[in-house]
Amino acid sequence: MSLHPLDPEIVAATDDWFYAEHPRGRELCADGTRTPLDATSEEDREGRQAWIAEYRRRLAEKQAGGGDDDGPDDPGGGDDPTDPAEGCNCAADFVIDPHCTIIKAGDSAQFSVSELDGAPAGSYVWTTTSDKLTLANDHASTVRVISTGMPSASRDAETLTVVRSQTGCADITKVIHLTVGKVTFSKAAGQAYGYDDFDTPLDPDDDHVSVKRDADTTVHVEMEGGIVGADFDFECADAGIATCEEAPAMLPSFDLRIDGGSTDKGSTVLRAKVRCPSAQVFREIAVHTYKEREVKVVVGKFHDSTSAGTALRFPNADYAGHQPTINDKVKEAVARFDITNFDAANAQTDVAFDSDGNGALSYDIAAGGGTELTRIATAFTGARTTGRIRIAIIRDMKSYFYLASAAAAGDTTITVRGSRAFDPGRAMPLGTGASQENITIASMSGATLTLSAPLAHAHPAGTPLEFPAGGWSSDPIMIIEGSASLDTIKWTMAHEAGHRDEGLDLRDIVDQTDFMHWMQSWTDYRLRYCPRTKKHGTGTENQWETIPRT
Amino acid sequence: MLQLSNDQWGALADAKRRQFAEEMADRAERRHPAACRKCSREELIAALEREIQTAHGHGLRNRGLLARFTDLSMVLGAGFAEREDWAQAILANTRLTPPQRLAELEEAAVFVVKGQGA
Repeated sequence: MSLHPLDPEIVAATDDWFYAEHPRGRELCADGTRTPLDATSEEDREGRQAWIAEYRRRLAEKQAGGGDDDGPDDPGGGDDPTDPAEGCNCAADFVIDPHCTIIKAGDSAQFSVSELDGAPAGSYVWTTTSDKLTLANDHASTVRVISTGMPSASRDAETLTVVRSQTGCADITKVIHLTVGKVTFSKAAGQAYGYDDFDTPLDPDDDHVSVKRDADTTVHVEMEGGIVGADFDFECADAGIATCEEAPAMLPSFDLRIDGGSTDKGSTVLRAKVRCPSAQVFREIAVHTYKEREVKVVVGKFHDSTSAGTALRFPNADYAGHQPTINDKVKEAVARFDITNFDAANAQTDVAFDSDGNGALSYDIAAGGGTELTRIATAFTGARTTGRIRIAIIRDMKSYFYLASAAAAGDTTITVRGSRAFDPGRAMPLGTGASQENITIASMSGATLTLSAPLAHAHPAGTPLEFPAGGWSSDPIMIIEGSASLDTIKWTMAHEAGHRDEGLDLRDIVDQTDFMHWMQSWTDYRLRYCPRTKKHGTGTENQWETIPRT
Repeated sequence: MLQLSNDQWGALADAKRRQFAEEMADRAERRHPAACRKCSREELIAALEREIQTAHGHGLRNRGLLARFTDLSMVLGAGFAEREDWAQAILANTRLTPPQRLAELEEAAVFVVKGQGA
């Protein structure tokens, strides 16, 4: 039956009932004045439905008693009385099947229509004026809508029109409003740990995020096309490894918090799933949860006051003060350095180590250190070194092999104590004083070196052959000031501690943006998930994964 | 088989719409006499033709649905579907079928009319 015009008598009776009996009615009549129900608000929806139901019941009662009956509400269907082909069983409508109105940029979606129950089959043509979409199978009840890859300029900016035709009947046209959306993850300005873009900033599909176990970090989410946070669920595939907060509902650009799980080492995938039945993934990013690796280091500054050449260039340097700068970088791999100065007042330590008086620490390669190193190691002990990697800063160091047997002028081979791979073609000084000469290694076989030219002088057994080494993995680790800048020395300290098993257990790699680069020529100080090529040996190293997490 | 030209179809459609509008005018004079007294019979039929076309555009295409839509026009005034924001919002709701939209219009109109009366 039609609701209109309203029957004033039944309206009055229904009002009496509503304001006396219905909870919402009583609320609206609390002060004795009947406040009307709002015509469209959600708050009053239930009240309106109750009022209408009661009105219809009372109207039906009255009409059953002889009132005017306009018949039951027509549910639709049947002939169109204005259609010249009335009587041809024209469909009054058709149904667009449930669909998601957000399409992933660069992807496609399917839309279908169905006939109303009992309606004859029509034919369908789909069109769009959007330059963001193309259509396939557009003369059928199911069409494929293909995104060209560009996101919409605004929400619902794209239109998809479907026209139903039936012979002898008027066309029925419907329009669907669509949004082509794009989601991108990127590094958040305030991230607490790492973000590795795999050297391809324009490809967000290969990026990785790190987070400390039982802590949190953030990743930046950028949404294009008019979509917002409420359109998506952000979920990690393995909630035991990481979870994330719900996105802010109305924002298209925000930092999303990721919470690391209670695991020492694990990987999962964070996915942005559209809130539609398809739950299509618009973007995903790898998330790695790690137990934080702590590297404890103590740094001593050593000189020999009896040897002027050992005087430090930076006697007042505060190496412990470099800790925040280092940690700001190594946090990317979920690691941190705890650095202390050996001397409580950060003074240099005077040790009479220069026994050969050459103004440097002489390092006996074959002996793994030798007398001068032992003197520093002996002084570099005590409670302040317990449980820490010891790093000794010195002015200079010379690394030596020593001749195992005497060599005569004109000899083209020499034999040294111990053995090591030499770089052929490199010139090295042999001997001291007037008989010192530069030799060049042509080839080697064990401890026997073949020279590229005969010796000019004779040399007794024990003569030093200086080897060009920047440092050795000794205990303590020896770092020479040389002519390097103070900043370089500080990063060398982190680099050498990074090699230690009890440090980061990382190898020398080839990447100047990484402080584990094999040479003091850094342009940045990152640690990477993206595999880095090893300098020595073969293969690559994934630093985040290699760092011990026990 | 007899085939009609587009012009012939158009003329036939105009005639059918006019015929149905006259039928609706009879109904309106019976159900909404006060409103109908404000205009002539010809003006009423012309207004109802426009309302029927509007209803058609919103997918209301059978006799019962069109009759109920013209009832709304009589109580809310001709052109309500273009004039009233609340009506436009209901008619734009693509999640509802046309009969469901009409039912929503009717129910909302009850409280609009009651509000006007108050």
